[in-house]
Amino acid sequence: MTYQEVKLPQFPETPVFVSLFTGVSEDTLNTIKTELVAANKDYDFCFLNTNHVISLEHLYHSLYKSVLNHKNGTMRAKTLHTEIIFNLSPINNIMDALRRFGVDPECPDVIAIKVTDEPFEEVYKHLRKIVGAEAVEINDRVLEGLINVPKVKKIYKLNDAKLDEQHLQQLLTRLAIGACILRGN
Amino acid sequence: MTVDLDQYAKPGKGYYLALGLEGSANKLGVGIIKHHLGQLSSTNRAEVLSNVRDTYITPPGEGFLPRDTARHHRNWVVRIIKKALVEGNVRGTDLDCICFTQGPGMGAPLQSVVIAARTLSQLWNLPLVGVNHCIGHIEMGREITGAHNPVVLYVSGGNTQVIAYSDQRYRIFGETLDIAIGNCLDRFARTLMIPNEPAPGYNIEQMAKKGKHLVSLPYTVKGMDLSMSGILANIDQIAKDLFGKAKQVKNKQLIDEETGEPITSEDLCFSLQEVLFSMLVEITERALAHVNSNQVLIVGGVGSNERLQEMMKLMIQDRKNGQIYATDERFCIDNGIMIAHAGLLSYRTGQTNDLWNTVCTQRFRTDEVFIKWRDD
Amino acid sequence: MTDHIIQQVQVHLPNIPLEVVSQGAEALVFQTSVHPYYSKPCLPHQDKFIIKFRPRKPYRHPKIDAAITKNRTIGEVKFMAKLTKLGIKAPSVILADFPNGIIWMEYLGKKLPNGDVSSLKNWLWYYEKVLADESLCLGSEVQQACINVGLLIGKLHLNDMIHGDLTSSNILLEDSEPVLIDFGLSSYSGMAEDKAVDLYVLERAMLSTHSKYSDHYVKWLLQGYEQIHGSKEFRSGGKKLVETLRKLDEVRLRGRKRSMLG
Repeated sequence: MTYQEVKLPQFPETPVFVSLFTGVSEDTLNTIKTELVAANKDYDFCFLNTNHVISLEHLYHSLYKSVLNHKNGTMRAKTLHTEIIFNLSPINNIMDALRRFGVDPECPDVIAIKVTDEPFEEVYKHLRKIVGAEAVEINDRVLEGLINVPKVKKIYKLNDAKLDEQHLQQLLTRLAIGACILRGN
Repeated sequence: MTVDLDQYAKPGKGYYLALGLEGSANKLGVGIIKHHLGQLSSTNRAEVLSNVRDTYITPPGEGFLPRDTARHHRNWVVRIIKKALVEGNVRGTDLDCICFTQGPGMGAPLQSVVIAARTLSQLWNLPLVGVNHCIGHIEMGREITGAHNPVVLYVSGGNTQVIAYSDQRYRIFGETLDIAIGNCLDRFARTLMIPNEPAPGYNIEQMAKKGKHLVSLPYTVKGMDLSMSGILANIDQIAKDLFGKAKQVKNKQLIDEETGEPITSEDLCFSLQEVLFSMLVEITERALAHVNSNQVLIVGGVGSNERLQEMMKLMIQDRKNGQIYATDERFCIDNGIMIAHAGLLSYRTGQTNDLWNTVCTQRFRTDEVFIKWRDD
Repeated sequence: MTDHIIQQVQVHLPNIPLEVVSQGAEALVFQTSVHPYYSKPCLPHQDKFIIKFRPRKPYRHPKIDAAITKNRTIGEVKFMAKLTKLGIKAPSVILADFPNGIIWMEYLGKKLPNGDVSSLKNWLWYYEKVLADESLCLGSEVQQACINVGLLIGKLHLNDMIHGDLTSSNILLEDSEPVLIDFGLSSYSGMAEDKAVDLYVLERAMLSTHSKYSDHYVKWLLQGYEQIHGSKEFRSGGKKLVETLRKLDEVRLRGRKRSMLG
């Protein structure tokens, strides 16, 4: 399967579609960005660049928080998809989060997420058209290869952290999630 | 409790009588207590023969100074002793010992009272027993309420401690890191110019009952201890802003966020009590968990506050077999009878003070006293 | 008493199985087999997790209660996150719900042969009471473990962090590597007095829980504590050590932190 169907244990009625595309052209990314800003309904996805998505666990933490906030009516962002982007960020500013974590024309690898009732096959077909490519499998090994470690360290303020190179992804995940949890406090 | 309390009994006498003198702060108290032979128990209670007190009360906005308080005690002590003897129907020479507060407390007032004690001791040829003020509160609280081994919250103008008994000492589990709670309340009463009659804390309590808006104040529990000077500084400033008479301070109106109503002095009293008492209940709860106990005894003047008692009750209800004990104002406010009682316990275990050993001390920690009359 | 608190927390954690681990004055600790959002977290244990819950306190004014619950929970998570950042072993945070006083964190510790969790206390008790073997209690394994605990606490203090409630129950052993837990009373301070009290609390706790051999354990603890202060990693460690130990002597004499004011 080239996309993931995520079911959060506390929200079994809210399935989440997650997929990863690599080598997407800068033009396509620019188009996606423009259409997102225009709030084009065809582009109603959460697009993330892969620079700062450290692991699936890191991503799923944001999914969970976002769906929870959506259910409780406590979202800070306007839409659930933007909320997902925001909850990956340790900085208490939505525009900043969108800029850093959202679709980046300079990063050819992009994660696409949709929280929806629509059948995922349809969602995937639609996405393939927009992105103009086939999805690849999304897992921790792949993500590890795509992250930009210096950027991650910078944004999560980990330059003075004690990092064990052997378990880097694990540690970065833990520290990043901690930073997200404490955002604004 | 199998300590022999009758080793020093006078042959042919079936009871002991002790006179206690208390004057470590602004209350001068004289009490006479009677213990029958044998262990103290529910069937052999101590008897209060008399408990007389006079309080030195200053005008609103003023606290009591050591020198003036000492003068008050000197002026009243003979009268109060005489009254206690008459009410107790006891002659000086019937007594077994003269007990007095050796500390902690204010220097000059303590001094005035110990001189009276030494005089009586020489007059009637009786031994002297120096008593730790806190131990007096604790032992009297236990005796009056029947609580055998509770965690004790001792809260007064000069002290704020959470105490639990262990191995012949009353050990301090938590305490104030700066001022005592009574002191905090009294000083705020001065800020608001609340009368000191009958007691500033009592008047704050009555005003608090009429308050309803909670003003935000810092909450400063630090582990097992607590700090109150920051809260006092904070609320003093708020009060000064609201009611300040200084010409350059424009009278600001503080509005409650939710209701839009202005904040009153009653609200401030209410808020101060809520935060201070919450902190006290919290550190008491911590001590309970630490020693695995479910009983609380509140002693000391601030213990007569009904809101504090109510909050403590709410906390203890959540614990299995939780029980709260408190005494009324006769015993929880500084008094002479508690000194007589604790002193007599000391006397019965052979502990008296030679004349040269009756120097008072302002600092006298509760855990310095060896509790010879208990062996549990 | 515990039941209605469990009901309270279950409202915020629907469909999550909860097993009570311990109940303190301030919080309840549960164990669960369900992870809130991911089945294969980057953690040594993937089938057990800890949930710490601060329940409402009915005696507090609701505004005060809400503020305390939230702030204490945030404070604890902050402390733990900082420890992880500094490389001082502590449980990792998985999720937090500050207003409701809930923290999900990783499960630490192993099961000892007698079924108890591997806190320092249980492990020492196992040697002291179950096996009743003095040579084990005073052997090199225990010695090294105590030294390691001392190293850990020293590292904590050298970073001006105070645990606030050091007891042998709050130190877990994961393969003879110690981990600190329970930061409900933790704080930040550079004062020698506060560090001395932290050590004193542990000393007293060891004495009352492991009276038979506590002098040895404490001696080894302090050995590790001193060792890390000499490490090149920390500036002026030696000076800080001297001050802290001096304060420790004072605290021991006084029996408590402060002398009374009367």
